[in-house]
Amino acid sequence: MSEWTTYSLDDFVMFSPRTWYGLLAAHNRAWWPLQPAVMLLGAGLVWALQRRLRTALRLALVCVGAALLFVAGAFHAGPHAGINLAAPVFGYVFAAQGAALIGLALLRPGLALRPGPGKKGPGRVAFAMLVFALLLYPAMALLSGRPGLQSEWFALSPDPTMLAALALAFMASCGIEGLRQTGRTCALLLALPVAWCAVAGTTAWVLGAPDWWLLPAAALLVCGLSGWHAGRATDRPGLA
Amino acid sequence: MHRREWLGLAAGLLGMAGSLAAQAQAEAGLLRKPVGTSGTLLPVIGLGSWITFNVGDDAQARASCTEVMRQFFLAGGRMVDSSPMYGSSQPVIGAGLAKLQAQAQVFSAEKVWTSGDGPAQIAASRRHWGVARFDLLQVHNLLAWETQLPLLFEMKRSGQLRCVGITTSHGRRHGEVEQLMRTQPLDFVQISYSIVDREVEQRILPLARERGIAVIANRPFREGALIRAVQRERLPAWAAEAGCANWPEFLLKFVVSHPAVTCAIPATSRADHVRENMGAARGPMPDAAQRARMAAAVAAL
Repeated sequence: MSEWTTYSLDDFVMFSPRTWYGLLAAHNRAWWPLQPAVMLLGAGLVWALQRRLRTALRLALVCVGAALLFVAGAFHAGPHAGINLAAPVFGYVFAAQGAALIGLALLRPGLALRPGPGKKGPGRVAFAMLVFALLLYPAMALLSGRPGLQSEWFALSPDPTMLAALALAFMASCGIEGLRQTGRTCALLLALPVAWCAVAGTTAWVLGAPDWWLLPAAALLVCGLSGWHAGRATDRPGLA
Repeated sequence: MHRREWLGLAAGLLGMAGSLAAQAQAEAGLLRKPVGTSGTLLPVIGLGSWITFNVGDDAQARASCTEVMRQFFLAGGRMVDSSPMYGSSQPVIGAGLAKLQAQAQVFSAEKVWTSGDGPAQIAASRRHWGVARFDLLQVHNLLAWETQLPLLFEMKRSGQLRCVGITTSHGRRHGEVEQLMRTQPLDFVQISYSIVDREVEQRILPLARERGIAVIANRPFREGALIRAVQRERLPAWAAEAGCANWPEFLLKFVVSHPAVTCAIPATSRADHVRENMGAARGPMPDAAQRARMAAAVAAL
């Protein structure tokens, strides 16, 4: 029997809930008033995507990519590294995903949402997920019975930021003009966010957070719908 | 030397004498066990730091940790255990020791946990603690013991270290632990031992007695899960006969009353809990028959 079977999930979380939520609160205090600013930015992105402006998708990719890079430096390489030996690795993951999103936006000038497929089914789910990550995620703290100071914000905390990246990558799989190898590119863009959802969900579960299921459920939904969408696209090449 | 310097020196000596007297008073009535043949006596309750002291830069949480350490030392405690694997625990302990001026009182138990540069890691740990040398360095989870044990033995030989040990937890790699206990001149072995995790009673604890190796028991409360489980039930009336006034004492006295166990290292972030834990080092200890009854009572819950 491998000794790995003697480990349980909580052996990999080296801090207490009090320390984790205290860290989130201190991080929020340190970066105030960035929170309302990123909320305004998020609202602007949602508006632009909703209106399907030609540059909206590339703008969103750049903004979410920059947010991932900011979280990598300001959170994972900063206070998070003080309590978690894995934080620097998480920082590299966020930086890689951020660079990938920004790279995609810069290298594909013709990238834009299609007017058709993205407006239905999976595209709507992706859009709703992005709205939730950008604008509604901070409310989860209050709904979970935590004080507002411990809320998690897009571009400041890892979970809503990576959820936004997951939603954008999912949108890409639902309908983007300019991507020729849609399936492979989108799978690559989804890989790190899905992995993060597993890590974040496990950590939240060990910490006893009532909303631990949120990110794993989002990842499962995205994987399932992406597979279904890819299958349809293969059957009907016109939608690929 | 000027008069002012003489006065300062005298005040320092008086302070030191006062602190030693306070320590002696705190240790009176405290059960202590010897470390091999070194002549060192250690109180049977130490202080772990996994998770509880990993609080980052949070000033309020750091102050709480210092208060835990203050209560621990006030109650006569000495061994504090940490590891480079425990995040910010090392600097938090170091800040607490500096604040309490307890560097002379603590029995510093650290670990080396790397397959790379052991001396560099040990030097960094020592800077975090702010101690001149460690009392005990252990190879954490046997990681790279082939490289690190010779390093620790050499440090001990040259006077940079008092004791050498190895650690494991959760019942892992007991065969290898046993082998090292037989072949290496270890002072300490650290294992997981609680009233519901008793595998070490079969081979490791008897071997430790045979070889004169001091034993540190980690996870005596299974990171609090055991406490939370038993505290739903009423403490048996007969627990008082075994010297136990509450569940933490019940669980800890079971562990430290084993003849081979030198000390247990429960971790806590609460000052009231550390006082409660230290109560397990005082009063009568359960005998073999009472220990069997205690284990059966917990198993039946």
